[in-house]
Amino acid sequence: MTNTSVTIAFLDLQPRDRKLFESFLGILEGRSHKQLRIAQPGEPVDVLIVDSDARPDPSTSDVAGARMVVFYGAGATAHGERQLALAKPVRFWELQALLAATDQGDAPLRTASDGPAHGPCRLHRLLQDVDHTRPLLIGFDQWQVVTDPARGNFYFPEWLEELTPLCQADEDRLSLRPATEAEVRAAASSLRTGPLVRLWWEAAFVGSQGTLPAGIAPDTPVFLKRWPDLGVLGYRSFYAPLCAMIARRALPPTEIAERTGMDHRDVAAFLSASAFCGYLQTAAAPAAPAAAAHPAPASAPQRGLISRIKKRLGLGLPLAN
Amino acid sequence: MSEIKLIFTGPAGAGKTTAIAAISEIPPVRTDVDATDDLLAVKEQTTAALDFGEITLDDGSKVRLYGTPGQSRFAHMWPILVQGGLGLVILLDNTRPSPVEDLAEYLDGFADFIAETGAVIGLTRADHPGGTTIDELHHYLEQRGEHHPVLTADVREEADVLMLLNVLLSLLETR
Repeated sequence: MTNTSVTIAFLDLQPRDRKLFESFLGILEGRSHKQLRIAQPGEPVDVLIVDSDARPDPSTSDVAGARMVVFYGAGATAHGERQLALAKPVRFWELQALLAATDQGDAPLRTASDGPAHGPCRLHRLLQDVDHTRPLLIGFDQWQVVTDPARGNFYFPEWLEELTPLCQADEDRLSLRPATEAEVRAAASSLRTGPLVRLWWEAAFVGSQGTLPAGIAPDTPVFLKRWPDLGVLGYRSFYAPLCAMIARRALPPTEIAERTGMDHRDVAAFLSASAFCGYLQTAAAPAAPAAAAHPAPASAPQRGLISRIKKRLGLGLPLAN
Repeated sequence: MSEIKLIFTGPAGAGKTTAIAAISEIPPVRTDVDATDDLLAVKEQTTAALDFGEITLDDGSKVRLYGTPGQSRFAHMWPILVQGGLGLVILLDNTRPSPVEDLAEYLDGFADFIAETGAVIGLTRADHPGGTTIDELHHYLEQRGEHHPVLTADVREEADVLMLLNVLLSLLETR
């Protein structure tokens, strides 16, 4: 059952961390069609976020009544069912996955932060064993998602607009088989339509769990053969600088993370999704992709100006290098 | 102090005014600019519509947002308008007969500016039946030996306009 209203409370969070959560929650509320509220005193709490660095061992009374407890800290660990751990700093898509987990009823919780049980997980792993260029019927509990590669579409129930629950689901909740033409037509007429690349991207991004795709090592130079259409993917603002970094030159993942200042797991997830969707190519040696001559490098004052414009527009952090 | 500019171009109706309005601190101002067409030896002065918006940075400096006249007969104005500009947003309208031909026109007309800075291409009304696909636009770019981001965008949505600018600014940062 989908929760349309989620109450959230914080315990001992630093003001900066709380502000980060509230900022992400504001964005998620607009995307997820859920009402996300900070719980008032005495109100039932769906998600209690505990700063485990400040309070490593909360008492039973601290967490009583919360439907889900999230331990948030540098070395956070979960202690049982209905508990999750999140490492600092929280990333947007981790919070997105966490909220999707609130739809899982009383089932044991898992998010992308959990270690994979058997390598890359779930839908992404299943897709690697089938020909996903042919129509597929993906069973997810009692629901169905149908892919239509000929038209570049996939068809899904309305509540699955956020694909995270599907991409995060354990394999025992999923089934995969070829779809008949009749099933594709029926799905096209009765379900919502979305661009197929979005499903593949999200499945690979989430399913990678922060690991690099097969055949790519931390020191393997990679570049984008072409830009992903960020307008149809589940857009995350850090995609733009990552794409820009390897659109004109080949770089290894370690250097991408260093130059962008991003977590290596985010870089790995991005590269996994890029590879799965056919955008990524490895280079035998650092080499520029076939493109027009590069313009002159941006000067330091111009980079400073661009950073200020990005800040003014709320477009995220400047590059580390 | 030289002007700080971001340039929006594209055919009429592609969404230049709407895109500027999505982020401008002031309602877009439409200015008629005198333009002569020497090639046609037009005796009367013709005018071109130019959209204008702006945002203010933390130090008080202004970033001007210019929407160029999109018609090809004003192409001689484009190099003048982009002088000192940071980069280019090309908006293509997928309801037009040939967005690929439109793209060719703007890539040719702004070639020098794009080579010095960078460009992002936004396809509006992308779901128009029978229109051009993102794949076709990329295929055309590959034939030209060029490599630009091509994104589906609904410029009525502020988030999509910000996405286009995030891509453009990220390109400018990493060149």
